[in-house]
Amino acid sequence: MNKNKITSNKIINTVNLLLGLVLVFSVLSNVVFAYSNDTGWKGYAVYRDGVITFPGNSSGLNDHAALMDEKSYNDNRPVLHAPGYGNVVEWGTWDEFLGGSSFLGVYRPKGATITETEAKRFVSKARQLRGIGYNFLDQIVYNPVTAGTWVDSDEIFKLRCDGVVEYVYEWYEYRVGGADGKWDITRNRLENFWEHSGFNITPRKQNRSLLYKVQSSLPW
Amino acid sequence: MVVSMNHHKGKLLIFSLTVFLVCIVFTIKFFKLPIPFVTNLTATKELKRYVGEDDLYVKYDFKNNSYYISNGGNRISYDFTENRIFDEKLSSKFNEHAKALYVKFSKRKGEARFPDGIHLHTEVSAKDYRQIEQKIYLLNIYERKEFDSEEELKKRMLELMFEVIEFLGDEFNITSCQTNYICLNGTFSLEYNSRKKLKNVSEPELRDNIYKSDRNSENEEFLRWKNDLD
Repeated sequence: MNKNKITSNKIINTVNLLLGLVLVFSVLSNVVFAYSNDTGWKGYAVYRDGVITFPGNSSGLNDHAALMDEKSYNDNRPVLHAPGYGNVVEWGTWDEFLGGSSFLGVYRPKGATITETEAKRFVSKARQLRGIGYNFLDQIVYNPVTAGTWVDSDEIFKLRCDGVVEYVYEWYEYRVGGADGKWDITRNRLENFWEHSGFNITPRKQNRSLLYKVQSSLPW
Repeated sequence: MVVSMNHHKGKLLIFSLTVFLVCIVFTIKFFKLPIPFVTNLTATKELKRYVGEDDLYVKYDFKNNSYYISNGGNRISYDFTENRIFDEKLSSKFNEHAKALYVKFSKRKGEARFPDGIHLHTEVSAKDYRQIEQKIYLLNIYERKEFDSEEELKKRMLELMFEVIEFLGDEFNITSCQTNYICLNGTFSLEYNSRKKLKNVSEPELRDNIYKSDRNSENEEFLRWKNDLD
């Protein structure tokens, strides 16, 4: 009887030990998973200067914006951007994005932490914009009649490069630019549209004052 | 009297037209704008010659003030202001080679911490395709060092930059650079675009182009780095 009790206690202890080990392993793996950076620079905005240059001003009148679609600038076609007239929002190589101009840095919305979930959401939304034509005069051009309360990606006709960044971040309620009450570019309202029309907001304004600069080095 | 008035009006018209044309020519020349049809024809000719094909659809890229074609997903552009050609495939080839060499360099131990990776942008002269011009991006070099004078600091910054350029070797023709140097004195940047080898540019000329960044964002980045050191 006693012998049986000792044996069953041993089994229970062994099971408890095993369960304890499983628990410790599970907690540890969760911690490791939470801190492992699988997304790198995905979802961050990057800028370079040199748009419309003239002699004596190589930095140009404006800058060019893109959104990181890959972990690092070393990856194949790491950015998603609106390169210019005659082109649509598309993946681009690092060389194509930079074009020999000066790299200005890596940026994120003020007050945002780009977690793995956030990065995935930004990239996924940016990919929905692929194929949309370029527009120079406004950040965004859409059909206000078909759009409901919010401007969906398939209701957009044209985007400027800074419009791509602004649309993606503001879709997820991270304010980039615009006055109180009308800052959201994704909201189908005339005052919101006007706030993002013309050059109220430009790529240069975005990187100089509207977004938070994370680093000036390349997104490795 | 009427004839004289008409004559006067005619003169005024010719004068106004001349002034207008001079203004247009000056604007095009100064801002290096494309001359309708003329630059397009030149660019098309240069791109056809480079690619070796006659049937090309050449587009104008106003952002970069250049003409380009997409050749099977490979972008080839012609910069009419500098008479240079950018071939994405060629640039990528040089870049990959430079990056592979740089891996060996970055493993070297020293006082300065060099960036994990570099980028090399390559363009070729439209006159002679063997003549390449390259821009190196060295962002950023960190060093826990404090300098008494800015001259001393700039000298060190150039020394570190040339360490990398010399390591890469003579098969590259690095004529331009964007380098940031972060030390205990702050963040310093050098942006230099030239057509001759950087090695042949005088040191005072390069030093004159190094400036201390006073923008808040750079200061913040510098303070974060400094705090991490403490």
